[in-house]
Amino acid sequence: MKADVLIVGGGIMGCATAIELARKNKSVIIFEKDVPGRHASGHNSGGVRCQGRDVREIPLAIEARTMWDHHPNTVNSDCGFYVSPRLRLAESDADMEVLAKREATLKSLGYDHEVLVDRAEVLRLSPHVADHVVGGLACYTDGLANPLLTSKAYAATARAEGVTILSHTRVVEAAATAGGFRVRTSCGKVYEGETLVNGTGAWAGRFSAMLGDPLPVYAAAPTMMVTDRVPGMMSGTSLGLTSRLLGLMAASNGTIIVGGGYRSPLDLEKEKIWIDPMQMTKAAQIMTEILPGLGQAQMIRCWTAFEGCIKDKVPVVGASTKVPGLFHVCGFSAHGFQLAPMMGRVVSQLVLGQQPELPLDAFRPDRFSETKAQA
Amino acid sequence: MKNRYDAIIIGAGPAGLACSTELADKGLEVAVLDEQAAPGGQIYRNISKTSARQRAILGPDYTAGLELIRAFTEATVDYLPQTRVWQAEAAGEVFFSHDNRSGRFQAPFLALNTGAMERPVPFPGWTLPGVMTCGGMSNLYKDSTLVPREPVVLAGSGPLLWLVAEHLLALEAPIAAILDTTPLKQMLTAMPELPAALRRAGYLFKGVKMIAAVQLAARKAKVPMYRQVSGLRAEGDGRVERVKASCRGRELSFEASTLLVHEGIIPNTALLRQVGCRHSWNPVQRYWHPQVDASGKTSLGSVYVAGDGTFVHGAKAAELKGRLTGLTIARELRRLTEPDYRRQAAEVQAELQEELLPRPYIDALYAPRKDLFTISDETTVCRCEGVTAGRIRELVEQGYTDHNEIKSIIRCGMGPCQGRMCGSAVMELVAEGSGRSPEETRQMRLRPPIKPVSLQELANATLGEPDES
Amino acid sequence: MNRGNSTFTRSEPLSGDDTITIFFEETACEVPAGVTVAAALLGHDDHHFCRSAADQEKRAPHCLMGVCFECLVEIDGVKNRQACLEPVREGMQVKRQHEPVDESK
Ligand SMILES: Cc1cc2nc3c(=O)[nH]c(=O)nc-3n(C[C@H](O)[C@H](O)[C@H](O)COP(=O)(O)OP(=O)(O)OC[C@H]3O[C@@H](n4cnc5c(N)ncnc54)[C@H](O)[C@@H]3O)c2cc1C
Ligand code: FES
Repeated sequence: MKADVLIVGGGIMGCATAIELARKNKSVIIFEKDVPGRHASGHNSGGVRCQGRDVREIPLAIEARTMWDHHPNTVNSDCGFYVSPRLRLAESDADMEVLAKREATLKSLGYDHEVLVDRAEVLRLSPHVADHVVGGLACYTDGLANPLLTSKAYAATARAEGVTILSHTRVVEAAATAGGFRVRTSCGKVYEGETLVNGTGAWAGRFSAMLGDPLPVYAAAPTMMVTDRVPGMMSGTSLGLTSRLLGLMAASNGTIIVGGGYRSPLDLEKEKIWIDPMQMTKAAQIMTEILPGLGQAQMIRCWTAFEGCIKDKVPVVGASTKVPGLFHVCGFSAHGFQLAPMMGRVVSQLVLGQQPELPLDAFRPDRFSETKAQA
Repeated sequence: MKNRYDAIIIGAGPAGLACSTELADKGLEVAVLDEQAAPGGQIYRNISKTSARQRAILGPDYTAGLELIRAFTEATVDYLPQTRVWQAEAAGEVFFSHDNRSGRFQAPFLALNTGAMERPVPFPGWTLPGVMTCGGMSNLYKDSTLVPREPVVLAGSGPLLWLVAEHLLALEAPIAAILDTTPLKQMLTAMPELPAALRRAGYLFKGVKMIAAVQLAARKAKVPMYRQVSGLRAEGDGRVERVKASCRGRELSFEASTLLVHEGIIPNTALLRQVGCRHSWNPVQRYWHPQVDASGKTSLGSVYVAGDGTFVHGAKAAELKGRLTGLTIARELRRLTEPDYRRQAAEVQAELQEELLPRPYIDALYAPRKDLFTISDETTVCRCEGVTAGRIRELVEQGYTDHNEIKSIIRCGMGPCQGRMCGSAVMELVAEGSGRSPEETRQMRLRPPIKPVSLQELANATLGEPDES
Repeated sequence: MNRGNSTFTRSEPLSGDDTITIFFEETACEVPAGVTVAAALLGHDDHHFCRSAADQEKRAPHCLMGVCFECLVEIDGVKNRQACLEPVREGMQVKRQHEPVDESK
């Protein structure tokens, strides 16, 4: 079977790219070894945040944020999205300085989405935070969405646009040919396409190696936790910290989704993740310090998923310099969910040979060899 | 406190008691962790404290546990009652909550003998206060001699329904009706299994005799009994006031303030799924159970399961399975020579074989009936999150066939019980709507903590590596 | 003995030494020593133990074996105790777990 574009990985990156390409009359096949949304895209914490992003990502994130408002039109679902301002708390004057610097840097670059706020404003946004909190940096437009609903909506839209999604179909071999690419699947079938998109998430390191363009993407298992309902505790504001690991998201049903950098041990080969209960104890300690009223709340459960990470924490988005016709969209390092709608746009532009609407230089796949050379 | 052992046994029911006593006998250091305040599990609940009258009412099947408890009490084991295990790992770690503190134990072998639970079957009104399970009623009586003093209806299928009816009749509780939901057809389906069952006729007839005696007593007490009952529902304002059902076209209605339900027993696999051992689907009993070998060894090697947790076989079999697991772990730890192991295990196995002879007949007779999960759209399925069957059907219609995904979208199975109460029904609704057997769908995943733990307790916990000892 | 609105009764009488006093919603109740909190309350006032956190419906023990989490009460200031697993102690303060109304809805 043939298609213009072969996409490996049915996560939100693969599906978002497929939708845009199909809308430009390209034929697309997505290969997904499980089902769309089984991994990071369906099981992340649903944070749609511009707050705290690497400055290189900000232009994309700001554009992506407006796309989150239009999902009912673009993917026929609101994706469970709602605004929950994200407030990064300063626990000391030193923290406050860090936040002030961040605000200044953003201002100098022309961004105003993160605003330094004093304790009074912190208390207005989140009345139950502890006494030691001195202020914060607020991003009023950040929000939360339902990741599974979102990835399913993207997959359904892709299908509706004519994309073929092959679930339970792993790409076991992929190689460049004279006319493009040939891939062989775990179902024993062979497919051909002019271009190939690598949206394999946590598996991107291996997949890129298979194609002769190895990327330093490694698998990690960000670990999330969720509490029982603690209505009123968060007042709809999601919280982060400046110098400690913690992210608390105010779910609309009154529970708190807890994350912010906890990782669990994993075995990518066996697709097994062990949840380390020490993560829960660490998170619980900080949580009860930040929101002293939470002592009686309960941890109901943890979850984790595989994510592809890169040391410099920004993704790889761009054309392979080694294999013509190969495009990477991976290595989102636990913050790709928010960016996904925009990734679909820019990657499709790359595939179509157009100039991407926003510069992607910072995400070039060959940036690693460069830094090595410099070092 | 000591925190490294040769084996950690979770559950102090017949399987856990027998298993740990066997291990202690062989000089091994074992810890026994159980949620309840006293050993005995569900069947022998509170057995060391029940009165002579309670024991007379509950009969020899209950007092059979006394000997087990005596042996356990005399054995040298570290027994931690009122201890909720919230995570176990194949590497031998067990995390638990005891006295509002979290702790961690370690051992090369784990035996997760977490037993069985009653099959939760949603029907209209099942969330009303006053709707309890038959097993729950039995526990209540064992704990405290409580019996209903206002009209009570018993409804369902299976020996436990009749056993509880027997106790309530003996205690002169005001039974408003007994509604047997076993379809007639099932009696015929079970027939081929009867010859094997008859080889252990004593056991079988005991059961048959018990049910016959209860029915006779009920007739004498003028308790109305109905067969082939369907369409059960409970009604009332904030609690049960009426129980309704239909019986072969006839509408039934009873004033009652308690409704006791029972639709069979299924393995309680919560901890087993969390630890990650492999499970199989049994299409007759319609439940998932861990894959174990004769000794109770799971796919994880260092993790064993004994008792009803492997497959529901009853108390005596659970005890024997526990003993076998104990012997096997003792051999693995080189406290039993191979010949000694073979001899001792063979004895237990022979007894177990005999015990299991009538099971296929009983299992076929009381297999969940076809229409058991005919749930109306308005019925609440997930009690914790208030999710109705209609909502779940909508998702199944949209193509969702994975409870894990359905849960992520409408929260059914996300509450404190972590899907223990809605799991069976969601699985059946998916099967009904998609035409796929549960075997072809993904089993519902359980993630730690499998029992909620307060943040304060977690914040205070020091769960570092256990000390060497 | 204050039997409140219970629809259950003890089938065996208790002698005075076998009872202890616990407080349910601040009312003293004499209950048999050694029983679970669920049994004590069901023998006293079984109307409901808690409300569903999702929809505020009244809930009471269903399984009495630690599975359903419908018997959650506050014991001595600690919330979310499973009453069917917790034995009574002299002077124990038990409260119904009323989840406040969810503000976000
Ligand atoms: C726990 C967690 C929390 C997170 N929280 C946030 C957050 O709050 N905000 C945010 O913006 N981001 C968050 N993220 C990051 C975000 O989820 C990811 O960056 C994003 O979903 C990546 O999408 P993807 O399509 O690249 O990856 P995936 O969704 O993992 O998709 C990759 C797919 O490729 C398939 N695949 C791999 N190899 C093959 C092969 N050979 N053949 C066929 N198929 C293959 C896999 O099965 C998988 O489905 C979080 C991530 C995790 C894990
Ligand atoms: S009554 Fe079910 S958990 Fe207590």
